[in-house]
Amino acid sequence: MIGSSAGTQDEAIHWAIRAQDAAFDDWEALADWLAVDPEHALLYDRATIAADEGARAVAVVATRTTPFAALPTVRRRPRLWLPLAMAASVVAAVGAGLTLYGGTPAPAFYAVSTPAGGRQELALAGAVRMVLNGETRITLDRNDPRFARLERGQATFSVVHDPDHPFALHVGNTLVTDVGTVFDVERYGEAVRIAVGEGAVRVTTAAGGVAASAGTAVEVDANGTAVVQRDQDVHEVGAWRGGQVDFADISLARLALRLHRASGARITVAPDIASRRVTGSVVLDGDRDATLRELSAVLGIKVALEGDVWMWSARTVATPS
Amino acid sequence: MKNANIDVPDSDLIATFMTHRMQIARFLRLRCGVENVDDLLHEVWLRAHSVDIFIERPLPYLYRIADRLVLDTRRGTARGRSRDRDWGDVHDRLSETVEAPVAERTLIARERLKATDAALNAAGARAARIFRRYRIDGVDQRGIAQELGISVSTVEKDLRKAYHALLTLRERFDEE
Repeated sequence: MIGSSAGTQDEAIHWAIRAQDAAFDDWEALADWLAVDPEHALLYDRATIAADEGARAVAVVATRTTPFAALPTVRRRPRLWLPLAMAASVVAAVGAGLTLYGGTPAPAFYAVSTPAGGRQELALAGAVRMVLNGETRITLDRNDPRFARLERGQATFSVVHDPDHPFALHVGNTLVTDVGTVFDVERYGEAVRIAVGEGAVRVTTAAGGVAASAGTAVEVDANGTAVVQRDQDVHEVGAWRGGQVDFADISLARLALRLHRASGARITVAPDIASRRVTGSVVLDGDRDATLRELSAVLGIKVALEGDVWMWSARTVATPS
Repeated sequence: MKNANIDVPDSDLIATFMTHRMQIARFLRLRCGVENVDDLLHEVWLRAHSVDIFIERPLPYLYRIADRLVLDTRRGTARGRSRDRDWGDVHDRLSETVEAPVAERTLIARERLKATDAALNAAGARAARIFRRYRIDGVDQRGIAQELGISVSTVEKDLRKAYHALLTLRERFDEE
């Protein structure tokens, strides 16, 4: 045991937490702190290891805080269940939402994420292809290529249907299973939008399931209520992959998020116009700044660049005297 | 920005590495408490080469690679270059994600799993949830603060509770 002061350990924890933040960039200051005393490095090391091991242990849980009963049940590989007593104790140990299959490998989750303005194409076992938009994170399972969970952002999927092993995409409390498809999934806060370009998917929420075929979109709100929109242009599904950002009757706040995801641009929307609905299309191509400035005309708002943040606000219209 | 893979100079990250490699070396030396960090520095350089997405702020990213690398060596699972071909791994390492340990089915591992989950929950339901959002989902503190409608300093306090609980637990494990 180290006979160090509690204060130093607190400092080490403080640095370990900060250094983990995606936005952290004070590495020089951390180096300076480590330089003060060899004990600092030791404590920082222990803190980062403890947190890392702790995170790995609790990451075994398949879902976070959703009570087991509220989840749509998905049997990924219908095999033997563990003997009831053992299953019960492990479920109690790791919390709610864990499904176990005796005789098959336990899930080996890992995640792929992109920064805002980034892109990533993935292929799983050849039959599932996906393209991730910016600021997107998806959890996958090395032991099951027909499973994915969209944690944040947006992705377009192309799936070759396998009736014995449908591709199952979890998005919050919503489940999307393919029936042979190209479909796009976008998270916005707690809401989810699924748009189908080809084939069909089944969208399952706590309230039930709905089938959506090409040319249809399903919008699931934070309460799990699904609304089907039958006017989805199939050519717009996943069009963001080519740099095109389409928007049909969405709020300015949501559009700002889509643009941020696609380009990395940081946009602040004034509260008085944030819920205003807009429709249109933007191609992010070449001169990004010029395109973002042009939005003023497209959206009928005032667009100004302050530092490196775009500010959207209401236009003040001069009234004729 | 046109199609998926990305006509972006990946030399930005390498150029930054070349300019700042002495600083990164210093960080590695202090972090590990050793004088010779040549191998580690070289590994950072290798990892930087296998990054194929656009990095907005290359220098912090490189430091993060270095910090992550040290953690990997502590865990005794320094990942070899052969796995760089595996598309998932680069992001796996660099995006601070976690992978469930395959060995958790052994009795000791299962007990520790139980104890870890209990320790985290004992730190508080919100602290446990924030820890998961932070470490497993990779959301930054500001993002978490916005999601929960609380201040960043409250998020930080909860993280401290969680880290403290896990550190105490780990010290207990080390004694066993």
